Amino acid sequence: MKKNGFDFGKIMSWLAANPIPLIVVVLVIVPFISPYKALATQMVILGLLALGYNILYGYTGLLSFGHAAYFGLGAYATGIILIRTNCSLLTAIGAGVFVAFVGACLIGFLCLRRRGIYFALLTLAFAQMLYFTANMWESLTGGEAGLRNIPHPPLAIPGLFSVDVYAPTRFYFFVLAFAVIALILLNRILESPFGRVLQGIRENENRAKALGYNTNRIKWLSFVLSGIFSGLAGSLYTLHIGFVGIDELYWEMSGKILMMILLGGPGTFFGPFVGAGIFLYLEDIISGYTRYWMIVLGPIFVLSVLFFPQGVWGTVRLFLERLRKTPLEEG
Amino acid sequence: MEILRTEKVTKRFGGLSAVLDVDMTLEKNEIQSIIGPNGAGKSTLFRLINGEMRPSSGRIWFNGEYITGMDQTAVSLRGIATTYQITNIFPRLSTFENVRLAVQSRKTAYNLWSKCGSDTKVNGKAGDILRTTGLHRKKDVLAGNLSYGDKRRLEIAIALGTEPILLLMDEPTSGLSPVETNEMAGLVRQIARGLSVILVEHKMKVVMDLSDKITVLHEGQVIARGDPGSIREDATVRRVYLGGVKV
Repeated sequence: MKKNGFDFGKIMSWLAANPIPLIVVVLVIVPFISPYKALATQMVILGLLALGYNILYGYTGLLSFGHAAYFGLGAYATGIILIRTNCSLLTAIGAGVFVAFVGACLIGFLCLRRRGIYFALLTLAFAQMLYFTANMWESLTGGEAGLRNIPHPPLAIPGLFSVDVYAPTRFYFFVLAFAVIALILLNRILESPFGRVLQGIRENENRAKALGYNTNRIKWLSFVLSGIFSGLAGSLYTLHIGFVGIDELYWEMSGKILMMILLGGPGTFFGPFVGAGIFLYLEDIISGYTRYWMIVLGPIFVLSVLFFPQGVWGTVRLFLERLRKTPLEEG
Repeated sequence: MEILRTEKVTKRFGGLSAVLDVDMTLEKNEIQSIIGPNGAGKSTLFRLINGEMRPSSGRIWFNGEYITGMDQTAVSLRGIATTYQITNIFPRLSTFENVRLAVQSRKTAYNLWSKCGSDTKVNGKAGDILRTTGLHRKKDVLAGNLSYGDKRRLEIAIALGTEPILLLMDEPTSGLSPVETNEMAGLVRQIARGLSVILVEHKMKVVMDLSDKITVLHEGQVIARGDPGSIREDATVRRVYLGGVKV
């Protein structure tokens, strides 16, 4: 192979093999090129949510229609604990993650008694149950009006430091730090023996069971992991907008997550972020022109699913892979 | 040494007895074939042994342990593997990963942190099995893209990955050409050196060549058993199954 000169193919092939630096650069630039910083933050938070969902749908092959539940649980738990107690920022986030974890444990356990469409509808039913519970339980959740006046404690370790993280750029990087940790964890998990079994279950659950894997328990773990990441996203979302709306538990939210995944590329590592980014960007632009932005986004979604079933990121990856293979095989 | 024993094993579906009072025993390192016309209960018997289904009545021992009513996961972990008549693989994983997952099943399922790529023991074992089954050069191909004959081999490679003591093989040569059938028979003979095999097979030449012992099922019941020579001469077997065909 020649070593001198600017070799475009070689750069592309390197990027295909090591996409992480590229992604990090993109994520660092995003807030400065997006129409406004809050949008970039929202992209990362919903990317994190889609990432959590992807563990379950993209990697384990379980279609949940109720992932708003864990997002909402995380969001409400963080909001409620901040309003009612004097706790620190990290405790509030921890509480959100914990409540989502407990919710996913219980709901996952029950839903996983059934497979396929019955599973999907059970997840939807439980999510709707939470929605109506939040709607009725006004004293705790604020009901339809939502949870308002959520305080914004600084990021602090008593005696060590205390930083206000809510300035738009700063908050973006605060959220990004969580997203990067989540990405690293997820990368580890997917490459682990456990992660491989998840993919085995997605491909052929019966055979995985025949190999001696306790597929029910493994699916449950996948569900819970997925719920934890979604809960973290919900928690950060509360801090981001300083408000918890009942819509975050609504089934439409679950649908949006699924759309983001399908746009970005189910079962691909960065697909959820790409999907969330595209979805929110289009929503932002189109809703600037019309209230009926869904009418425009709908056909875009349909076309994308028809012509890029691998999603945007899945398609890009295939393309990069092809670039990578050709020079390597020749050399 | 006796590796498997069934006692009056029965499976009823409604009024129909798919398997009725089947007694069988299998010695260590034996290849025993089960033959019989379609619907004789051969595949159902496999499902009863490997835990996919619970028998309606009767008892099963494997390797000295009472395994009746255990689920498939538990039975698999005790050393019974199945290869399926209808290819049953992980289509969108690589050929290597298909086998690696099987090997990994003996070790861990809940390790979330270590890297699969660096487990040289598991990876080495998977590589060995791919070499044995002749799939090594195709290890990076997605399993779903393999040729039919290679998928049949992968089917066996996956089962071998779980290091079984007893291998239940449901028509390994199903759909294969005469040449491929010979190769497959050779592979079965080769892998059977270190383990016990129960073989369900329709191709009589394969059955006669490979088996130490043959059990004939008809309408869920055992109607004959013996070595290949005696089964060939058995008048009842000839009537209900071989149909007078010279074998």
